[in-house]
Amino acid sequence: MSVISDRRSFLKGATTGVGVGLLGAMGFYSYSSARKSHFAQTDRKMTDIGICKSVKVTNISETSWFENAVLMGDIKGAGGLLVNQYDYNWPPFGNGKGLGKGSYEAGIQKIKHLLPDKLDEAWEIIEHETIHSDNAGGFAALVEVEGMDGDKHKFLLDSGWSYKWMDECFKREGIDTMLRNKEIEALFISHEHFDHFWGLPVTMKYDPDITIYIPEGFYPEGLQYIKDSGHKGEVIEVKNGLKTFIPGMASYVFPIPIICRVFGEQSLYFNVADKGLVSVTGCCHQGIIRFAETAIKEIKYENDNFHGIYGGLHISPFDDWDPKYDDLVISLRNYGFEKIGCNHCTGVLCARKFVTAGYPVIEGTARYRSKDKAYLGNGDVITFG
Amino acid sequence: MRCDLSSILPPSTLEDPARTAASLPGAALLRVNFIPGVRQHLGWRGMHECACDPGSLTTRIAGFAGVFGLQCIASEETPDEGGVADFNLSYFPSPKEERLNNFSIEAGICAMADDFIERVRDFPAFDDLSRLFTIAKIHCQINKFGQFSLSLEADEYTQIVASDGLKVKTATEVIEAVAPGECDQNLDSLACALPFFENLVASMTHAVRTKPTNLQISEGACERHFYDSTGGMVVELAPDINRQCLEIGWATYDKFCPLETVLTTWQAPADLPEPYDKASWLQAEMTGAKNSLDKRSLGIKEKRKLIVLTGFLGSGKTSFLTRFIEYQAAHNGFVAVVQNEIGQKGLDASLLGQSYAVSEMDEGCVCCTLAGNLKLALADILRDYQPDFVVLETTGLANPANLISEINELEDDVTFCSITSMVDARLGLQTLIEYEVARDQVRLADVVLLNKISEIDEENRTELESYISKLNPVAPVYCTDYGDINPAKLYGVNASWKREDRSVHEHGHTHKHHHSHHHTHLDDGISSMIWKPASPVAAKVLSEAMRSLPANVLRVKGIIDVNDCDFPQLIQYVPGTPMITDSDETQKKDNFLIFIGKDIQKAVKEFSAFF
Repeated sequence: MSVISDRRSFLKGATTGVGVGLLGAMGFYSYSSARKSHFAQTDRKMTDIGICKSVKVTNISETSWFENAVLMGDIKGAGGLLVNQYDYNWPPFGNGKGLGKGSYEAGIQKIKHLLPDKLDEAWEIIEHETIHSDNAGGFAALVEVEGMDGDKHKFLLDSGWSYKWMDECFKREGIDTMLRNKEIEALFISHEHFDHFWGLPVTMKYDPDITIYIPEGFYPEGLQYIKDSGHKGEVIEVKNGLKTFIPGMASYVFPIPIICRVFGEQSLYFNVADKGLVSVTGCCHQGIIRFAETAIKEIKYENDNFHGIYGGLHISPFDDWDPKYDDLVISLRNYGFEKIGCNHCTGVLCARKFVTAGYPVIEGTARYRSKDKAYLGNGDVITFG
Repeated sequence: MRCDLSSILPPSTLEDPARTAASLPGAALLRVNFIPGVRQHLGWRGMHECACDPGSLTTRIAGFAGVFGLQCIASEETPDEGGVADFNLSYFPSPKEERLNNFSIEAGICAMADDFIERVRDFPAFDDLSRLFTIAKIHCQINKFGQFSLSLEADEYTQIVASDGLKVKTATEVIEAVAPGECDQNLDSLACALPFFENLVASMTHAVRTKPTNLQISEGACERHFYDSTGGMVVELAPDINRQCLEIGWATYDKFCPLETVLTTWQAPADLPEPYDKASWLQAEMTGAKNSLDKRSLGIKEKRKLIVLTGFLGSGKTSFLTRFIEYQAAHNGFVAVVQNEIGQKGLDASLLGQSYAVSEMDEGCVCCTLAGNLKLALADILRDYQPDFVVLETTGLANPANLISEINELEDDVTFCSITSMVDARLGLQTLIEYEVARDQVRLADVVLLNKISEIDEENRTELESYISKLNPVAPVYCTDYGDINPAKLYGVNASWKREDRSVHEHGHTHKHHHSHHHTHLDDGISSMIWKPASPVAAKVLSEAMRSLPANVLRVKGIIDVNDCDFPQLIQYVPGTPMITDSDETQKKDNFLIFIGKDIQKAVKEFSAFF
């Protein structure tokens, strides 16, 4: 019997090719409480969220801001990515004191009396008091779900940012009329970020009674803004995890830190008959892998198949310790999506890469200030099922 | 005194003390990792949340080849409305790492398996990983006043003795891996865990914008474990080893839970006690400004990184650049491209439609006509856009040798990061043989990308690689198609800056003057030479020698053992600008400088005379 001198070289030699085995009893590690098993739950829960016939998404606006360089310059100038978004002095919360010197209280004071009906007048004040108000756009989408019984349900996902831009977009897609006619059942806010949430008064202008679902993790300023926007309906804070709304439609709240002092993002999942899972996201700050893995673990869906995805597909903002995995994240192919409509924070170059790689990207028309056909752009529609 | 934790966690979490304690460390780590300069400065070298168990994460830190894993295993509300959470800290050593020898044989076998790293990414899902690799406990405590603490508890050494020895069966024989009565595991757990904990404390301080106010060090009895061939387990006290607990409190938190013997207690504003009186991670300077949660608050004067991208026309620079920009954008990075490509309207404006890239500069060669304007343009770009990277895309015909002296002028504004040279695999060999400029591009490169690689066969590829290797023995060569390579591999915190597969030692021939001239028949102008010191050098002499280098030395780079430095020093030099920084190399196996320039032999001889 040989004796080993250097473990590492021995193990390296011994473990290549045929495996090595330990001889003798190995039950010894159970001694310590530190070594107690802490298995993560890997069983699939497969919650049944019901099914629906189809989902149609109309992109009201995906252009959250028009010049990325301007936005990044503002963020850096104000002190970086961890600064509270209400302090930027971005529209609509301005006090005229310049970049990074704003506050919710001072900003809302100047416009509160005009919300939600006199948005044009409010915007004139905002242009005066805030930084780069022209750069603000917004993210919002109309989601139409057709039930198995043929009933149609309309929801809004997010309400954009600039009052001026969002009002134009709402009118362009007829959202103003739908809201006035109470055709839209609820407004889902994906997360508290400026470009998804600060355009709230535009929805309030046309239907102040609408039910609003926000993800757990809103800050006091955000909750106050809902009130100050003139909202008279119900606000429901959706707790972390899965919640079913109507058959075939659920939301999932991810408790994750997001830049600009925001916490938590809500994404929508749909189970479309014969097709499979469809997801609609605002930004997907939780990252594509976590987003998809959560669906696999938590939800039961048709044919166990990922059918489609719409929205911003955020790649993880961290440097991974193994660069090769960043590439894997981008390889959506692993999940076999059959229909991809991406825009917003996905990145045009990333979207183009999906197209080049032969992913089933539904291209848009690059109208209304959307910049590239690789994006399912403003005014474009995608249907699943 | 209380801490405002709202910058880390939202009110809905903070109202639940158990959840707060369980989420605080992870949320602070994720927040600080949003910002490239901050994560780098705090010592993080990549982070990943476990998909199987959100809240658990894996990370690399400076100076360690392996991966740390942090997992919350329990949390509860305390009777006084506070919260407490326990975490396991694991360390998954790299199979290449010396420390692996100190883990158990079973851990070693596990770490050598092909799927080890894959499994580490989701370590909470695998029972054996936490069983074999847990090295310490971390606790987070918070009270109803917003005061909180982090503590680390670990054995100085974690020893497991195989009373009857441990035998291992391989394909051919039975081997006694551990002799009877010897340690199967003898791990320096505390030393291994401490650097992670220091990073964690510094990150927490950064995230809550206030320094720790309290500290306590205590010691307790450590146990030694014995197992025998029947599976029996005996635990005995190990009087020669201690278990240590290091507790850090913020906002005057001092309800510590020490082990038996308290060694040190400290409270601000007293001077910090030894051995932490010089610990930078306890003293991160905060400016206190409301909006200073960025690099400035850490005193990081991070300069933009400058990459010079060279390569002949059509070698794929634009494709590479597109990929690079896309990657940076996805990581909150921002890139400014400065280019001037003859006969081409640059990277079309539409490709850069997102205004990732900016200033259209005049056509012409940056090395000559634009030399005077480059600094001005760069200053404008830096001021207007604050990019994280500046890529200077040179015309294919540019000789980076001419450019290098210009880079020296930019030194106040940017940090020189890399000369990346692209070579068209199909035409490369011919181009290299024909054009001196092409050869110089490769000679001066820090990284060579062989693009369009799938268009040539193995034989041509080997020939080309060998030719490139002769021109430049140290630069890593990566094969790509469409310039598609993850930039983190090239410039990321974990990037290998030198060729891994061939040791540089095989290349130059060591002369008696402990330097070697590398290969001459290809070069009539620029050549390179490797120099190795006979013994560790003094920092002062090294710096003096580098400042005395003549202008014909265009580049010097390498790793050198310097007296009184814990880490080998990474040397980067462009004319007039020597840079000496800690390298991430933990083992002092490399000790050389490579000199590139004209008439290099004479310069190296003079340099050598300093030592």
